[in-house]
Amino acid sequence: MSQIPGLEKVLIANRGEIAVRITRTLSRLGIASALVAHAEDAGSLAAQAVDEVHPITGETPVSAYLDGAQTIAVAKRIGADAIHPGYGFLSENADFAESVIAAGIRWIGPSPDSMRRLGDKIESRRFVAGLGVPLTPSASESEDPKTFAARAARVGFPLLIKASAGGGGKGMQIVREASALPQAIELARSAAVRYFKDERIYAERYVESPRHVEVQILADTHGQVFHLGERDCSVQRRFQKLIEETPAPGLAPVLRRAICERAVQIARAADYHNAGTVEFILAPNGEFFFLEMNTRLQVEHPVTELVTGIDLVEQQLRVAAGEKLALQQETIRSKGVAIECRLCAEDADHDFRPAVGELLVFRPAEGPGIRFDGGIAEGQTITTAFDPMLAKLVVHAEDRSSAIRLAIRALEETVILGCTTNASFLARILEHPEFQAGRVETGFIPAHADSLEPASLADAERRLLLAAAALSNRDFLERANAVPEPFASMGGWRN
Amino acid sequence: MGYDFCLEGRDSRVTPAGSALEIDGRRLDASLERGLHAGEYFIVVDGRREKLFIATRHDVHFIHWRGRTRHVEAWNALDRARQAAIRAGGAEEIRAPMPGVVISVAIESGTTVERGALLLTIESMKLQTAITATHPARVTEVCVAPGDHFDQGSPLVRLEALDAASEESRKS
Amino acid sequence: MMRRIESRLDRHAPTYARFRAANLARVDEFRRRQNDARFERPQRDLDRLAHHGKLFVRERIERLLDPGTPFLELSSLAANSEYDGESKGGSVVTGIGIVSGREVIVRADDPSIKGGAWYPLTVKKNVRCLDIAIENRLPVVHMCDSAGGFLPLQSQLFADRVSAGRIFRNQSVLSQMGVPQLSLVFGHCTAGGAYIPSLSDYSVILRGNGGIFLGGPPLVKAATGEIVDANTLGGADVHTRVSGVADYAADSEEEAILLGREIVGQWTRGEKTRIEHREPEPPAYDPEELYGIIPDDIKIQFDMREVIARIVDGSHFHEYQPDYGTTLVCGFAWIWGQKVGILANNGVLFNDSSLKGAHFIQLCNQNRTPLVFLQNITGFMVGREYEARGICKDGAKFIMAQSCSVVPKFTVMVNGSFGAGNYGMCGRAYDGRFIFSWPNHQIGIMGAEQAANTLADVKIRQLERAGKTLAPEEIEAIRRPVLESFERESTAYYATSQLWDDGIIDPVDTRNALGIAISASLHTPIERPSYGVLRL
Repeated sequence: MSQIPGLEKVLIANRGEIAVRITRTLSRLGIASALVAHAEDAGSLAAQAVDEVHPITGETPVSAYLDGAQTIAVAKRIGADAIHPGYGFLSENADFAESVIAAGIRWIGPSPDSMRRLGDKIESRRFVAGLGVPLTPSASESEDPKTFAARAARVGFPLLIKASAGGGGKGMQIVREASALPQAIELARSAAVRYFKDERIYAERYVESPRHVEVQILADTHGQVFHLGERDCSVQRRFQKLIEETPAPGLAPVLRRAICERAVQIARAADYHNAGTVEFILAPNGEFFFLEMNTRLQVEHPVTELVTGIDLVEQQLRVAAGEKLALQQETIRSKGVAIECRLCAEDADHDFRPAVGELLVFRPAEGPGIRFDGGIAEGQTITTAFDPMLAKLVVHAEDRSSAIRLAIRALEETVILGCTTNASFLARILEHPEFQAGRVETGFIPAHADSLEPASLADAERRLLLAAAALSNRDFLERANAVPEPFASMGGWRN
Repeated sequence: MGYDFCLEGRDSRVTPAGSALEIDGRRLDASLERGLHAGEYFIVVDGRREKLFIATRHDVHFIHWRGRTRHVEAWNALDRARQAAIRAGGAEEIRAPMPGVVISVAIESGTTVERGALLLTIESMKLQTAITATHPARVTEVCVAPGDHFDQGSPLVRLEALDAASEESRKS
Repeated sequence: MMRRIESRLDRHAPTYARFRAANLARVDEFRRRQNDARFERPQRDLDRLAHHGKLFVRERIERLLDPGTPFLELSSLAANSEYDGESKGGSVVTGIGIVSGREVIVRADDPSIKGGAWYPLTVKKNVRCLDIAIENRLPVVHMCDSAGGFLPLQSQLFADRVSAGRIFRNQSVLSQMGVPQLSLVFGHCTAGGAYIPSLSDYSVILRGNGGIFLGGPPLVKAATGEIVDANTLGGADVHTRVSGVADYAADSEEEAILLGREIVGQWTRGEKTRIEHREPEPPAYDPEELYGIIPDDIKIQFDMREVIARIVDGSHFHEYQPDYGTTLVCGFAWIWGQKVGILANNGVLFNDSSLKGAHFIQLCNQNRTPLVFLQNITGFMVGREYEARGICKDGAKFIMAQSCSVVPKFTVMVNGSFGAGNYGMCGRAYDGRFIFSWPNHQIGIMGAEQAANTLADVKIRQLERAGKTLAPEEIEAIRRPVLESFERESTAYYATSQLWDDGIIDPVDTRNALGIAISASLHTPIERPSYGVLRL
């Protein structure tokens, strides 16, 4: 029996860890869970977690999840009351949201109008500027494609070329001088088409050594808008977030309040409802600029859930069901510190090359304060068909140094054998004195590249590992017995 | 019997020495026992007992020990020697294994091919044969065209061997 | 609790120090000469090897063998007393080792000496190597790199029964017996030499340096006028792609050797004959004490039990008939865990020791125990009493039992080996699987002194009949050349040069050498014993 009237069955239009995570809440609330899955994901953890799985097809696995019509057809056929789009894929596609609603299915997200207004980089900046919210200089292509390159150059270098239609830093190009601009524009455009099916791009000034601070917004259809605190997502590699935490370290309460209130202001002015995140760039001098708004649930939402004790997916479902949220801003408190590490199938010691392989052994860390949100299972083969992120390791502790210690321990205790991951790289970041001091900014990783290099093995350590390998090696063990006696005992004797 | 393993880009040789091991010429007393859980082991080295996780697939041993995961690759000396020979090699010629006719040509001069890539298809005695590249190479000359008849031993394609290492980087 | 030999060696006796000094000097001399034969080459010959990209023969062998395993080299000082010492080691290295876990015998040409050309003694060493392979059913790995027969001495290496042809005959017989052979062709295999890879079950040929042809380019040009280079005539590509004379081509010596190892790794490990076994144990006494036991004068006697105690496992020894025929010590012991029956001389052979020896040999044949002969013998006892007691027939029984033995036999020439004593105690002619000698070893039909005296005596009596006498200087003039030639031709070095044994070894290496030899011998089954007529 569903605990949310009107939502008996929800179809998840996504895959991997977020599908598993959403299912957890659905099942807790007694709501039937359904999933669309490409053949690649047929045996996945998510497919096994939900109540029903329905196949979808596409030229590539990713394209299947981008095929909105197929998903809606499934939802109608199985009588789903709502579709949860997760993050990425079609979660910020207003046309898709509209089609879902038109099909008589609830959309677990904001209205298509707010998605258009706020989800589109260019539109959102125009809207937010009108509210008096500070922005970084920018230029949008669609205003006048012919003069775009010139206007982009006037934004001032260094600048970023980004896709308008989606966030997550996908396809973003950083340009430091005019000569690199034309190529960056082309690259960003083709990435925009590939990831979001929308070729529109825009240029924006790049603030050096900024911090990336975002605010979690939750709003219902009864005019209530709440913020659930901020998150610092500065530690990134090539614009992909790697480590997120809340609260933002060293953020003055006054500044925190200002940023959060700006976020609420924006959401309220846009008549936003459901979950969303307003992202800001925080300059070293304390200035902050609106970056973008993500009109969906974010990857790093667990850190907010751990410190506030609020299940964001549950709140999303309630908003979608038309409920008035039983929250009050004054009582939303943040307790302790939560840190999330994104475990990816990448070889951090070799240029972050994507890694593949069968997960021969998979044992996530567990224990008080540890939350492991993964979509992987032992025996699964990791391929390059999808995003390299395997799981999120999230910890919650009393204070930041305890949280860091716990995160390091959890990374060390997590055993993933068969596919290389960035676990030790994440641990090295957490161990870095600058990180521990809270001096994070988006250039953290390149700035500290040298000190983030792995230490070489000491001689004794190397010998132990070689011994372990040899004693596990079938050939070695078989032929270790092959030198007959007395030869084996005589060793390398010569006459 | 010495066995060669590669760890962190460096090679080492491990030889059984009675009940112990010899690693790069130095003796080490080591033994391995299974733990309770899948993949869990205990290694006893010089009297010290330590827990680790090991999983093996196709000559690669993945080992999680003291909080870090590494992999050790067992390699075959003969394969390495062959690859070295190919690197050192250079120009080579693929000649027709028997008389026949060229059905189709899949490459042209200047094409870079991976191991196993199709070069051309020939037909002889009502049987079609695919001529493929045996290692990464660059095509320097295509000696025939579709429809050409040839004798046994006639040159079909000329290639220049490429470094095996560059094949790796091209794949990723 | 097994009994051990109780040593009565007095390490503080002046003779101990004297003998030790003498033996250390002998061993030093041996090691120096062996080292020279193994490694000393004119720089230009080593340069020529390097210029062709060739590894030194010993480097090839080290890479072939399993790391951390022993190698028993045979006849390292072959040909040392011939050809002005040009053919070091006989221009070929042979020995028993482990390749991919299998016991094999290796035969490797040494191209650093006259291009690896075969001298007469090279051929003899090669034939001996394959005889060992046949007798012990040992797989063979040939490392071929030879310019062919050494033409100036062709008459000594070509036509006779045990000449070059015997190599190829032996190869054929080995193959017939089901014993595999692998040839790694690193250089040229010309004329007869081409048959070595051709008669091997498996062959690998090196691209570039490798060549197999019945007639090399110069011979082809002389015979038919055709001009062709070695590679086109018989190189790797011709033989691995067109003719099928060779099985695999390799682009480097390293690759060829690794491929060879992989090939050997495919061979079935033969079943070994079972003999009594126990856990090996080093001798209870220090083998280094052997240096203080062996006298510096061939006439001085010593107790062979002291030698046995420093060779066998745990110095355990079960002596047979301890109170009878005491000049021949017989008993059971273990060497590297393998049970053997030992016969060792403690003086001349009498009637009783000869009978004891024959009887003990029969016991060993009955219970499938390999025999180890430790020789230090000047001969059988002579004199009217002993002839009347039938020492001829007693010696004959000893020789008969030994010759007809079906168990593997091993001989170590610990000291002297003179006259008929050599026969009974399993000298070369008696098909022992392996014979080793110590640096102090001397061998001859009789001792030098005895021979010189005998020949002088003959002359003196001859002249006496004519009524003349010989002056001391004239006697000396007869004796001296005899002494000199006997002394020169009786040494361990002369003997090993001629391949009258399978190599001189350092006494302290005896246990290991025998351990390996015995193990290698057990690939051949032991038949039921039978003997000819024993003149009773």
